[in-house]
Amino acid sequence: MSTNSIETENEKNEQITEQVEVPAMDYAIKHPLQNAWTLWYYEHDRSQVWENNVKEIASFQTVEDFWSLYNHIKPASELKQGNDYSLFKRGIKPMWEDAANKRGGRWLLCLDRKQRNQELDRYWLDVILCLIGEAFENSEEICGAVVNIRGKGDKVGIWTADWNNTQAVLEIGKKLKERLHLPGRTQLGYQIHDDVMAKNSSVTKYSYTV
Amino acid sequence: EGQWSPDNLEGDKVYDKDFLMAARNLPMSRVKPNIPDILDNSSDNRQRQS
Repeated sequence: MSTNSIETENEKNEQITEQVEVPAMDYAIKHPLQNAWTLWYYEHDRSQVWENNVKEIASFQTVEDFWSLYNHIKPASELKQGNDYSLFKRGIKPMWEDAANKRGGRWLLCLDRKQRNQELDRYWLDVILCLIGEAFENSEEICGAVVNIRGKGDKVGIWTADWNNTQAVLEIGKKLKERLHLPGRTQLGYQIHDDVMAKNSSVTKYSYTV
Repeated sequence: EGQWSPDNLEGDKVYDKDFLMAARNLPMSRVKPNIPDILDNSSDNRQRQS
């Protein structure tokens, strides 16, 4: 290619740039998310009060920044027993007490022990992609999601803002079931946070199921 | 109105799974952020642990 033709090529590019008014370069390449999200980590440590064990890891607001984080952290299946990952909209703490969660509840997927190796990471990633990609019609009702690594069976919970908003809760539950490709026999149950808090036994009733 | 794109900055930022998965291995999706060692999934960290 001669110098001339390179120059012509450059001129052409400049013209195109001017015509479509390409925004700042970062913005043109990275894909912004509707919401900013924060990843939290809970490390089980009996010597500390619960709140001190909840640690903020990182926040992101683009598709590419999400993957950069996800591609470099341990998958959920490799966390130690008793530990959690949480992903919440930025500004919401992964706790019942947070104002955004007070009236809320969670859709709960309970897994058995042998699913940790084969299915847990896929389910957790699918839930994350539903959240950050805004898969739900009622996505403003979504607060976040939690994965609990537990000896008696791992759990994935999707937290919503208002248990009383039946129509939104059910829409989210049905969409989750579809997007996670849950087999027909697998039930998702919705627990109200207040019920989980009040109950001393490990079993909390489901207020909705799909 | 409509879906976000570089030409429609006010659009909704809704992405389906296929789109998100397609971005997983782009160079901009592989930039290592600051994360605690205990959550670091890098290979040398794994070797240290094993």
